[in-house]
Amino acid sequence: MSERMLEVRNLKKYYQLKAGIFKKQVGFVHAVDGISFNVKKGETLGLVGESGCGKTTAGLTILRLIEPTAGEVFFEGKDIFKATKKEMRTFRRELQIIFQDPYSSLNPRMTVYDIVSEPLKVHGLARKKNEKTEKVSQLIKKAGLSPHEHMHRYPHEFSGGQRQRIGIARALATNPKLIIADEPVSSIDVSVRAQILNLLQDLKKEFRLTMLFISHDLSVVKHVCNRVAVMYVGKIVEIAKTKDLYNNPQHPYSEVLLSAIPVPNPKIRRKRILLRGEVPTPVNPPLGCRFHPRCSYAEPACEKVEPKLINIGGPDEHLVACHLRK
Amino acid sequence: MNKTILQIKDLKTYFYTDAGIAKAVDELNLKIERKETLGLIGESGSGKTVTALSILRLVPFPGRITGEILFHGENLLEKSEEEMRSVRGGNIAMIFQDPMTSLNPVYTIGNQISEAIELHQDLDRLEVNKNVIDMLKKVGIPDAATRQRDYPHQFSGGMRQRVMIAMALSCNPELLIADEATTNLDVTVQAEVLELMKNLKEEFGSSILLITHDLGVVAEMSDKVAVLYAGKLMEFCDVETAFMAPQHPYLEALLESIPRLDVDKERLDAIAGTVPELVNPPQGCRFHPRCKYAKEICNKQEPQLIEIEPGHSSACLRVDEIYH
Repeated sequence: MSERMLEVRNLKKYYQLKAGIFKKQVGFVHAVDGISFNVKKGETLGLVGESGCGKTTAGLTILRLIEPTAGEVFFEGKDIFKATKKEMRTFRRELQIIFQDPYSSLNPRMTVYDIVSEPLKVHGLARKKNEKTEKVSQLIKKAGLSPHEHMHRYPHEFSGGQRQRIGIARALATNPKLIIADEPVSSIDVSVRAQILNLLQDLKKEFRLTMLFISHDLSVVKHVCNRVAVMYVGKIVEIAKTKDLYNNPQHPYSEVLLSAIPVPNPKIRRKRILLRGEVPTPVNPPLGCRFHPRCSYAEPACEKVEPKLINIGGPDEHLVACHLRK
Repeated sequence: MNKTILQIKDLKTYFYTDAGIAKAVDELNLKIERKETLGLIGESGSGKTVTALSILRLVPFPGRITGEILFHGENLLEKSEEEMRSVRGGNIAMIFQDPMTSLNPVYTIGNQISEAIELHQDLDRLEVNKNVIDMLKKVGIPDAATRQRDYPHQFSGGMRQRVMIAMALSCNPELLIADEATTNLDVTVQAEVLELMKNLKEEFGSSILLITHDLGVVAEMSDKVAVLYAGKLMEFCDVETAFMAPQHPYLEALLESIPRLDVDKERLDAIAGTVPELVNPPQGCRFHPRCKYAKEICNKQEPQLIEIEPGHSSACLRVDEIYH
């Protein structure tokens, strides 16, 4: 059960920052700055954080959709970043992604059939035409659409929720082992969101999927994930089982984040921790702990030494990067 | 003590498109009392933004508004364009969802706020400038005197939304319409902006029409709740009743379907189907194709909004059978 499916070690992605007419390099955007985590077989790991914290970049870099600056990513023990072109093809089949915006991640000139059958074609998974048609209609059905009615329509004929279903069918086409879902329900209407979340849950069970679930919505993450990693300005500050993180957050930032979510219950009046200042820019992140300028518990050490992610939960693995938790 | 400042009567905002008539808002009746926050809940296409734009008469072509919008008893729909201009920003101000597109990128934010003040108040330059800086301080922008000379792109999303709030409140409006004002913000920034709105509401004594699809935000901010679905008002009641004892299947289903921090659930109770089109809405009750209680009568007869107990109205034909 606790077999590691995906292992990310010290992953970094810096973007060059250029200025002036000669495009002189003036610095780096430290989008992802040395993150390490594992995704165990069969689990859903949530990667949460606010906009600009690097969670999407992390997802794209793991898939090598953008090239990393440094670090290693092992998928079932094999290093993705050292893979040859041919090996990469296998990885691409076994790792799939579902994007946030179902409006821009589907080609408007392709029918649902074209979209869902393309991965089959690329990876040579269905050679004969009737085999392909059979497979596509199965996938469409699994994603909750009707093959008969929807297969030959174009993306613009569908609602947001239905489009996300098409995206899910496409991701499942190659029979992947791991799916990276990047904000899969953020742009979907509230009343339809639950359908998509339930669908993902069912498919995960049926296809025995492992999932990396990237989201800023902590209520959704709590519902979907087994474990959660919290990111702040390119770093992971805490990783714990969902229950532990939500009931007993150890990092001051996680605490703030959780206290900020409005709860749909007017009788609950929670004490809210307000932050001072703003999110630092990833171009010049603060020295020491990146959260220290906004942290109400900050001590002198926090300004100088960067805290390491250490386990404070024993066998349950509650990792936190904070000088105050030792 | 409670005085109605805005009353909407039989508001119909229809868009006459080539594809047919889109009834974006259909026979809406609403009331906002003084110093009250009314949360208007709805999904995309439910008519919540069109309602806001109708109040300010900013509905774009080919939209047409009929009905009555009474602001202090005067019908805004009968006012001249010139009179409306003094209402907009003066008596009724609006904060939009996306602060980047609603601020002008080529003017400094100080310029933009002073424009609003100059239009509605007769003050000299120095006083205007002092007001601008005061407002920016009130919304929590550090170093306001310097920052007022900055352009919108020099501000972060949360700061821009603060600028919008400063602009909206600069003329001390009686009614503030916040249309998804915190939707694009990060949760921690949203928390700050909501806190700010609460404090300013106390200070200025304004009423707020809070438009959002986030039930958490509504629960936290509102006194009363109105639920829109496909252009129709489904339920209207105070906030506690809305979340504890809703009496319309749509609100009930919506509350069941969202993942929440305060409730653990194995599986969400999803609402089947999708949000209907406005050009061809379902016959009868607009929610009936997705309603788990729907019976034959629901697709034949259109439900009227009826008061089921004082201060609580619901537009469901079977409300008595389901909830009593």
